[in-house]
Amino acid sequence: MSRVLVVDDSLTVRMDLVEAFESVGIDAEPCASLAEARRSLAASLPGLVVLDVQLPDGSGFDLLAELRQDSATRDLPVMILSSEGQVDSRIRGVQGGASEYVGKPYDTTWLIGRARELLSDVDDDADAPLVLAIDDSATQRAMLSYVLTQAGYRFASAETGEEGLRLAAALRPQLILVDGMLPGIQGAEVIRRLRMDPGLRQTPCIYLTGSYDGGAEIPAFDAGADSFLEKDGDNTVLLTRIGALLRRMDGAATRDAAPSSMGSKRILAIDDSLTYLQALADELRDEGYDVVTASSGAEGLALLSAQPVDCILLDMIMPEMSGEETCQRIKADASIRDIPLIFLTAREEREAMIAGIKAGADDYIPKSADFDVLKARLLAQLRRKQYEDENRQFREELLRREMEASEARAARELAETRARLLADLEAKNAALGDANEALLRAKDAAEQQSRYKSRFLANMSHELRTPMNAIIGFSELLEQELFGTLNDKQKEYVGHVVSSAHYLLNLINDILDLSKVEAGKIELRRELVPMETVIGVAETVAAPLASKRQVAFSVDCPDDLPALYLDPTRIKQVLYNLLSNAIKFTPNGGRVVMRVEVEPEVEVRIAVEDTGVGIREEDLDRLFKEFEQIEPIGGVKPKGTGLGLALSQRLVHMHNGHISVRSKVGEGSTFTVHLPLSAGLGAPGLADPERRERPVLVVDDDPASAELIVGYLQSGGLPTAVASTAREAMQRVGALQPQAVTLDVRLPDEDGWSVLARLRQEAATAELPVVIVSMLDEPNRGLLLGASDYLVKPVTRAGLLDALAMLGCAVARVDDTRVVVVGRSAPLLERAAARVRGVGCPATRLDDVAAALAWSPDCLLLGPEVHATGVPEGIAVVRLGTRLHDGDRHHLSPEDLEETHRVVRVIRAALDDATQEPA
Amino acid sequence: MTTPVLLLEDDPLNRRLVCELLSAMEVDVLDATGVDEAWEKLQALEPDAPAPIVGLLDIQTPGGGGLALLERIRATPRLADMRLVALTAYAMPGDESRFLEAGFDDYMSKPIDTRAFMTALRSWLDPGNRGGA
Repeated sequence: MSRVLVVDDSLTVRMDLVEAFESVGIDAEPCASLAEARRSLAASLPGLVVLDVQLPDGSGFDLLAELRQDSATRDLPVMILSSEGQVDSRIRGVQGGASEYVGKPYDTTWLIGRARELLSDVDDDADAPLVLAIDDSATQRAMLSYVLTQAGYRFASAETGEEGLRLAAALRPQLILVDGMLPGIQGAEVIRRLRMDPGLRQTPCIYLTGSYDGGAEIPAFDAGADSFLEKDGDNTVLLTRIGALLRRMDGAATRDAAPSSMGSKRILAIDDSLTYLQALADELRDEGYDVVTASSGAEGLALLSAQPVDCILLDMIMPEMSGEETCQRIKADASIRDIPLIFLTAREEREAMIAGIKAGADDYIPKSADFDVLKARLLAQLRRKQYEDENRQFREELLRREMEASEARAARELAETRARLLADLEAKNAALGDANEALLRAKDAAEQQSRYKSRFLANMSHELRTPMNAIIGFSELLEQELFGTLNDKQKEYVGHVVSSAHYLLNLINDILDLSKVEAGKIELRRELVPMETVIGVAETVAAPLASKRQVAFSVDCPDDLPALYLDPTRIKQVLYNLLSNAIKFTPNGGRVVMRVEVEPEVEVRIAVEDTGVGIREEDLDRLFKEFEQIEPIGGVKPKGTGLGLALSQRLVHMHNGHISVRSKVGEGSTFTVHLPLSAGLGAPGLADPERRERPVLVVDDDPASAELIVGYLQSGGLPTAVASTAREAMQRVGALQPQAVTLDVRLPDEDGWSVLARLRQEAATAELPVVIVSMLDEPNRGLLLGASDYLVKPVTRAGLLDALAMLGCAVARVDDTRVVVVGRSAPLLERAAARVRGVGCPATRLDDVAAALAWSPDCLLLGPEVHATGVPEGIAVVRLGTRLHDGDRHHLSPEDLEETHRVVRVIRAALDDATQEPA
Repeated sequence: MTTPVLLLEDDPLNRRLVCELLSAMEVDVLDATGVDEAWEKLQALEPDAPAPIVGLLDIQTPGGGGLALLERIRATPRLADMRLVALTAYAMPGDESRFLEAGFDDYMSKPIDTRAFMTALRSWLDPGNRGGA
C-alpha cells in the first residue's frame, strides 16, 4: 500500500489531508518542513508527495527540482498544493515537473480523487473494494452504508447524479450503485455517462429500482448497467450480486488508469481587478472548483499553454491585452479553442456583449449579477462542454465500432471473394483438364486416322504401281521392238497403250500427291536454295516441250536473285506444272514467258505468261479447286487431271505463299507464284551479314544439354553463346544481341516463361526469335507467351536447325556432303577431317587430287601444298591453311578449325559457289 | 560360269518383264518368287563359284520380302560383295531413303522406265564401278 507524504506548514491542512487520505484507506505522513520531508524521503519513498510551496525552510519548488534530478524519484508523482493561485507559480510548478498543481483552498474530495489517480499510476492497491452509491434518499444511503461496511466494503455516497459522477471520477470506486430516480439527471443517464468515460467505462454498475416500477430497468440496461436490483429487497441478494460482479471484474480488467473526464473542474479566471478575482475564486472554490486566477490576458494565455482548464472566465475590459483580443487568441489556438469561455464585464453593454460573442465567447455575464447567476451559467457551460465531449466520444465510439464492423465485413468479403475465386479457378482447372483430355483424345484419334490414311495411301500406291509396271514395261518392250519388228498398226496401237499408261501413271501420282497434302503427309524438305537453280531447272524441262509445240519460250530474270529457304523439288514441280499448262494451252506460234521479279523484303514473284486461249472470268475462282475442270474454250480440250493447279496452289501455300491468276479470253493468262521473303523464305543471313556473325544464345542450366545444343547449332554453321541462368540470359541478350535464343524452361533462378515474357515486353527484343527447348510438353503455353517455336527435348539436330532456319537464321548444312581432305600435312589435315566428321559428313583423307576425284566428292579440302589443277567444275574447293593459291576462293585457317560453325559456313559457301557456276 | 543377276519378284508378270529385259541384254538370271526359294538357289551354288553380282529384290514378297533376303545375304561373307537393288512399287516419300538406310545399294521404283532400267543395270554389273561407300 502506497504512502502519501503531505508536506505543508499549515497544521490544519496536514490534519485535514491525513484524515481524508486515511478515510479512504491510504496511509499519509505529515511533514511540516522541507527538512522533515527530505528525511522521510531518504528513509523510504512514498507513492505520492503532496507539496506546499511556501515552507518555513524554503520553497517546495526546490524539493520538486531535487526530486526530478534524482533518477530514483524522477517519476515520483508530486502534487503541488499552493495558496499561490497566481499563474506564474502554477506555470513554474507544472514546468518544474509537478504531476498536478492544486490551488488553495482546495476541494478535499477532488484532491483525494486526483491523488488516487496519481497513485494508481504507480501501483495497484489491494484495498477493500470501494462502493459508491448514488441515491437521493438519506435513509437508503444510511442503510447501504451500514450493510456494505459490515460486509467489509468501503463506502462513499452521493445525493445527485452530478455529484455521483464527480465522485466516481475522483474516487474511482470498484463498483457503483445507481438509483433509478434521481433529481436532475436520471440514473440511466448517469450510467450512460459512466460508460462514455474512458476512465470509468469498466466500473460495474448496479441499477436500483423501486419495487413498483416494473420495466424501469430496461433503459438502465440500454445505458449499460451490469445488473439491477429492487430497492428494499433482500440485502443478501445485494451483497451476493456485488460480490459476483467484483469477482468478475477482478483480474479481468485491472482498473483503467485513464484519467476521467468527470473530475473536479478547473476554472481559469482572468481579471485585472484583484479584488473581484479573489471574491470570484472564493465563491467558486466553495463549489469544489479548482480556480486559477490570472491578472492579465498574457498571463492567462501563458497558463493555458501549460495546464488545461475546463472553463475560462474572462474580463472584458483590461489594460494591455483586452478581453476581446485575449478571446480571439484563445479561439485561434486549436488546442484550447474548445474550452468554454465566458465574458465578464462591469457594465451591461449591448455592444460589448455583441463584440464578445463575435470574438468567440460562449456566454456573457455582467459582473453586477449575483454570483449564483454566474455559478449557474458556469455550470451550464461546463455541462454543455461535457455533453459535447460525451457526444464526440460517443460519435468516435460509434465510428470506431463502425470501422471495426466494416473491417470485419471487408475481411469477410475478401475471404468470400477469395473462396469464390479459388472455386472458380478449380472449376476452370477442371474444365481445362477435361478440355485437354478431349483434345488429347481428338489428337490421338486424328493421329490414328492419319496413320490409317497414310497406310492406305501407301498400300494403294503400291497396288496401283505393280500392275502399271507390267503394262508400261511390256508395252515398252513391244514398242522398242526388242523381240522382233512390229507392223505400222501394231506400232501405233502399242504407242497408244504406252502413252495412255503414262497418262494413267501421272493421274495416279497426282491423286496420291494431293491426298498426301490433304493428309498432311507431304513434308517440305526446305533448304537454302539459290533461286537461279530452281528457275534454271524449270527452264531446262519446259524448253523442249515448248519447241515441240512450236511455242516461243523465254525467261526474263534479274541477275542477283536471293537464295530462298524452300523445298526445291516442290517449287520446281509447281513451276513445271504452270509452264506445261501454259505451253499446252498456247496455240502454235504463241509465246510463253517466265518472268522473275524481286521486291526486296516482300516477295519473289515468278510469273508464267502465255498467249493462249485465256480463261473466263467466272471460271477463275474454280481454277484452283481440285476435280473442277473448267469448260474448254475454242474447242481446246484440256488434257490433264485437273489436279495440277490445285496441288500447285497447296504446295505454294505450304511455303506461306500463293498463286494468283490474271486472264483475258482470247489474249492469254498469267499465273504468278508469290513467295514471301518475310515469312522465313528469305534468308536474312545472306541479306544481313552482320546478323550472321551474331551468336545464337543457348539458355540451359544443364551443361550436357547446352553442349549438345551448341554442337547442333555449330554443325549448322551458327556461332553460339551459352547462359545458364535467367539473369545471365537477360544480361547476355543485352550484351550480345544474339540472332536467336534457345530457351530452356527450367532454370535455377527464374523460369524460362518469365524470361520469355521479359524479352517480349522490351521493344529491343520483342521480335527476337526465341525457340523454347524444354522437357515440358507445353507448346501452346510457350507459343501464347510469344515463343517463336517450341521444341520438346530431346531435340534432333534437324529439328533444331530447321526451326532456326525458319526463323531466318542462316543455317548452313553440309551433313550429306562427301568431303575429301587432300594433302600430306598430317596434323592440320587430321584436324580438318575430324572437324568435318564432327559435323556429320563423311570425310576421307587422301594424298592427291586424282585419287580424291575417284571418290566423286562434293567438296575437296586441299592442304596448303596441294594444287587444285584438274578439279572439275561443280566440286567445291576449300583451301586449308593461311596461304592462298590462284583461284582459291574459300579457305579455312587453322584458327577457323577451332570453331565448327566456321568450317560449316565455309564449306557451304564453297558448295553454293560450285553449284552456281554456269555448267 | 556364274549367274550375274538374282531376281526376287513374286508377281509373275513383273518377274517375266524383268526376265525379258535381262534376256534382251543377254544377262542370265536366277529368279525366285519368295525369300526361301531365293535363299535355296543361292545355297545351291557351287561352294567355290562366284556369287551373283547384282540382286534385284522386290520388297513385298512371301517370306519377308527383299529386306529379309538382304539381311541373310549381308550376313553371309561369301555373298558380301553382292550389289543389292530395291526394285519396288513402294514409292512414297521416304521410301527410297528407308531402303538405302536398310542397306540396299540402290533403289528403283516401279513402274520402271525400261530404258533407264537397262542403263542402270549395266552400271550395277560393271565391277569397276564400285562406289566407295
